[in-house]
Formats: sequence, C-alpha cells, structure tokens
Amino acid sequence: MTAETPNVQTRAGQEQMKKMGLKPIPLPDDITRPYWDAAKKHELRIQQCKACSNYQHPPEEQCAPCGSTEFNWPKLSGQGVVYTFVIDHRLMTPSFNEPYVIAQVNPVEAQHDTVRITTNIRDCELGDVYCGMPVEILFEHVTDEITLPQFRPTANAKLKSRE
Amino acid sequence: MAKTTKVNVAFVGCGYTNATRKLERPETELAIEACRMACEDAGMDPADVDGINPQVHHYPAPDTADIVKGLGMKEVRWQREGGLGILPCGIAAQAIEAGECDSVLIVKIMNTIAPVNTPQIDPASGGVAGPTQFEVPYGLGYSMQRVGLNARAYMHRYGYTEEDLGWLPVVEREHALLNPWAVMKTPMTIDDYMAARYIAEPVRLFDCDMPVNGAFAILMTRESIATGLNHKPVYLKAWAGSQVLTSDHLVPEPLEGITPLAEEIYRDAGMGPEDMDVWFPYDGFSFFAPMWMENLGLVRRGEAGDYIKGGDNIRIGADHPVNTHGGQLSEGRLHGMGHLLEATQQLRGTAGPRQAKNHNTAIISSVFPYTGAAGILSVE
Repeated sequence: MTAETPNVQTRAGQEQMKKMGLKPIPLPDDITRPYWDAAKKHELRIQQCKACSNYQHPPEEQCAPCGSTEFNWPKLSGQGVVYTFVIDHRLMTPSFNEPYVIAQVNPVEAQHDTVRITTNIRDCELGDVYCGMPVEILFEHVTDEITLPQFRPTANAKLKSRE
Repeated sequence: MAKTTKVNVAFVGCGYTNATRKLERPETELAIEACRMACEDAGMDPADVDGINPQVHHYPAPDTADIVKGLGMKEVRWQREGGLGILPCGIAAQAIEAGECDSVLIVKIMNTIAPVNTPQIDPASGGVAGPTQFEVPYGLGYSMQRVGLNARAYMHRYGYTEEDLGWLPVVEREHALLNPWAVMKTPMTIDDYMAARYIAEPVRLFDCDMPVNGAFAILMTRESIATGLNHKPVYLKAWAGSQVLTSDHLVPEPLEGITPLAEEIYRDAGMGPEDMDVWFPYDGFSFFAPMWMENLGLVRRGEAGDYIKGGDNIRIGADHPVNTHGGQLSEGRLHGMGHLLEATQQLRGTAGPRQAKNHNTAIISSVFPYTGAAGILSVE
C-alpha cells in the first residue's frame, strides 16, 4: 500500500475514498458468481436448495435450514414488494452524493422465505417509497463485468408524486 | 444458545472516570482509576481482587498486565478479555461460583479512535468481497442504516410513529440531566427530537448513542464477601445469552432472540416481568429499547409505542422507570457498562436524584434485541 492509499479501517480513509469518487462494485466469487452472471444477462436468479426448496439470498455455501450444498439457480420474475427501506442522508458511502433510498425487496416467488434483496429504488421520488410497495426489476450496466439489479415501482404502486 | 445460570454473586462497587468526547488521558491510567474507584466504593483493597476482565473495542488494546500492576493486584487467578454488558458478568459469576477466583473487576475502556463498522471497500479498485457485495454497491454499509431498516419494518408492523418512539430518547435526556457522569447536558423536548436531522430515515441524530472516551468499572464478588462490604449487595440472580452473531453486525429481523430464554431467566430468578422494578433495555440505538422491552415480556408485542408515548410510564417517578442514567443515548456509549453501574446504584439505593421509588429488582439487556443477552438483578 502506498502512502496515498486510503486505510478503509479509519474514518479518514473512508472520507478519502469518498473524495476519490471510488464506486463500490461487487467482487464475484465462486458462491456469488451465478447471481452476477445472471444479472449480466438481465436475469434475476437466486439460490434455491435442491433438497428442501428453500430460497436463499445472499447466496451461501450451505442451505441455512437444511445444510445441503446443492442448489438450483431458478430465474425469478423480477416482481417484488418493498419489505423495508431507509432514506440515507448521511452520504458516507463513496459515490453516493445525494440522499438515496436503500430498500430490501421480497421477490414475489420467495416472500415467505425471508429473502431480501438489497436495492435502491429508481424512477420515483424519495418520498414515494413505502413498505409494501410493489416493485419490478431493472438492470444497470456498471462495468463490462458487473450489472447491478435495481428496482422501481410498478404501474400499480401508489405514488404520492403521481397523485 | 448459552444456558441460563443461577448465581450467587453480587455487584459491590462502581467506578467511573469522566466520559469525554476526546481521549484526554492514557487508557491504562483511566482503567486503573476506574478500577480503584470501584474497589474504594466497595470497601475492598485492590490487592484482594483476584480476577479481571478488561473490555476494549479498539486496537491495539491496552496491556492487562499494566492495569494489574498499576492496581497492585497481588495474584490474578482468573482473567478474560472482552465482552459487553450482562453476558461477561454471567461468565465472571460462573468463574466465582466454580471457585476459580473470589472477585472480578470488569473494566470497560472506551476510545473513540476506532470507527465502528465501516464498509470494507478495496481502496484501489472499489471492489467489495464477501456477503456485503450485495449491499455496499447500493450504499448500505453502516450500522445506522441497518438499524433504520430494522426499525422501519418494526414500526410498520405495529403502526408505531417516529414521535411515539421518540419519547424514549427525550425521557432519557431528562434522566441524563440528573446524572453527573452523562455527556449530554442540554435539555431536549419531543419537538427538538423531531426537528433533529435524519441520518438514515427513520434514524435521527438523537437515535444514535454518543461515542465517548473513558473507563468504567464494576466489582463483582461472592456472597460471603459481599455482605461485609460498604453497600447492600446487588445480586445477579439469573442471566442468559443468545447466540453469537455470525453475520455482519446486525441480523435481519424478526428473530425471536432472547424471548425463549427470557422465560428461563424469570423462572431461575423466581420472578416474572411484572416483578421488575427498574428496566435497563440496551439503547445503543433508540429503537433497540422498545424491541427489548417486548422481547423480555415487559410490555406486550405491539404495545411499546403507546407505552412509551408521552414518557409518563418510563420516567423516574413511574412504577418502572427506564434507563434512569440517561441510557447510552444521553449518558454516552459505555457499551452496556452504564446500564450495569446504574442498576447497581438504583438497587442499593445510592442513585441520588435519580432514585426510583421501587428498587428491589432490575432487568438489564445487552446489545441487539434479536441476538443479545439479558439478566435479572435483585437485592435479595
């Protein structure tokens, strides 16, 4: 590490990364690669246990309920519901410079499996987002390797800004 | 899950340095001062203490040997590093009961040099490895955001408003104004609370505890020694810890956490939630306190909002006052030690202007409502 390299363990290092405009991007590994490969093809695929059919996200080496290590990666519809969200005003994460929504979305196929996909909410105002809001997926190109799944309100969502 | 344990060990001495926003003196010096004060408060010579548990949340940690030497401890028969809140007290009590030692000084040393839970981003590429690769690229990397996600879902489930729950930090501030150790010295109304800026909406500035520097010590000893000291012994009647966190700092709710074990600690103590005089729910973030109150059966699920609203049920003077020292939100981030010290002061009747009218029993919880620990203290 050079003297200029920020130390991510310190507050000063975090500030420095923010000033550098560094954008955090996922580093796929053996466990997570199927998710990111699917996203690149504009598909939402998550782990489903071959033994007990449990959906699991983020992906893990083992199925949490049954311990199996065998998974399918079924393609989901990309339809979901906002389980919870915050509006971040502190803006500490590098490349986030305006207040933004962090939401956790239950895919409709896996609502009873506590699968929560962390996402931003696109194509609406900050004040439009609510718990239970129906959302659908879109895909944002970041690099040649990485496409980020994101969500936006469906046509059925009740948005204050559209009233 | 750790088992619950019936114990026969008491809290007998309290020691505090000033809690300051900046580190003003060497940590070892602060730790020695707090430990000496706890021994003096109890009426015990530090040379007669034979167990020690320093708790540090930053690195490099001060050397325990320097604290031992500075205190003039003659023989250390039991030593353990780390821990937070009631759980390490239970472990120390087990050591005392097992005959490994007679007394344990638990000292919390806080230093704000270390930021808490920063996202791990490769500074060269921006790359994020491991499970947080699904979070940090979306700007999720800090505790207050995770707490906000949990708090929003919790409030939505039960229909609580930000103002309902905002009364907890407001009343804690009232209590802090009566506490000489508290760092927050300015009165705060519910309007002041609501006007404060958002950090990660619904989490406001005053929903987050205040980082401080200082050292804070509590002395535990066996019953046969405790009864001959300066104060009425405050017994650790029962305690339980739920599982250690394996995930990143905060788990998604809802998990039932301590609730199944809460029944066991009430049974071990021979008491129920209705018998708890003074309540010390952990409040590293304000939202933890109502979640804890529900998880421990002190209020029914879905009723914490109405219970807290207006403050009359939780302030000093109520039947069951809550966090009479001001909690971590207003006394300062003592990582659970503030709750222990104040519970001891309350139960032995030395809480001065903060004294609760009923003070034979207290319940304390530590850390996150879905994974943490809880214990019952009693003068009998």
